[in-house]
Amino acid sequence: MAPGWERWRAQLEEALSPVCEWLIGEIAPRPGDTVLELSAGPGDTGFAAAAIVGERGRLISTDFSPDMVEVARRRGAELGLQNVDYRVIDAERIELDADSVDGVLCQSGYMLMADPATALSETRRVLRPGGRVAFSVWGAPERNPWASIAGRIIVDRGQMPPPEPGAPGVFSMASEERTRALSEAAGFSAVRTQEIPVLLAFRDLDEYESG
Amino acid sequence: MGGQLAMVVRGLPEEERQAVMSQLKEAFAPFVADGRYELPGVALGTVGR
Repeated sequence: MAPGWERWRAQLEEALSPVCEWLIGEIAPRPGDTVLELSAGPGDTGFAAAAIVGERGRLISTDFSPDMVEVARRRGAELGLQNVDYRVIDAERIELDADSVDGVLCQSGYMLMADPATALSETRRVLRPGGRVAFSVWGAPERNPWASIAGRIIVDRGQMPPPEPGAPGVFSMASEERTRALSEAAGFSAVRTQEIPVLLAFRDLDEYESG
Repeated sequence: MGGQLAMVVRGLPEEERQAVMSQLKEAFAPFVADGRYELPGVALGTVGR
């Protein structure tokens, strides 16, 4: 998966820039802060925070996939970032001390985890008091035809079983109520949600398939 | 397409893969704009402290 991600990095970065901007705005990092990004993928969301926290601060860019961590490492080197630690981390067992980071970012990650409740509890554990998590998941299937149409076709043709409710997947946290409940059960307070519209563009179906 | 779906499609026999892509082309027709496909999406952002 990682080579595909790297190829699509620029296109995804543009398409998901509204999400990135919202996430960064919500954790509002300050110079000197330590920011953790979970499921960082190619790393771009966290890199935006790295630029803000500056040389006195630190970004810990993490992913469950070692290949993806290497994608982010290469991208960070291209950007000349000096304040980023790249680590393979399982979000359900975050190998960081309690109360050790000022903010946590996670774009399109928790929904793919086997146990998002544990991952959110771990997130709360490593956040300092008052620190914020900002994360995004995908909304309802009918609002996301870029993913739901292909999924429906493949399921209808019997090539993939229909997703089980609550199982990890693109739409597993599409319910605002479930996402809010998971967050609050993990110990987060002042939980807010917001819809963020995006537009995914591609030249042709070959490009769509390979993305 | 997204990781899991893309892997499923790439693993299909060529004839079945072509059938999926043909159905996709039909389903995506309403989203053609300026010579490309433009598909909307909505992310759900959540913040907590």
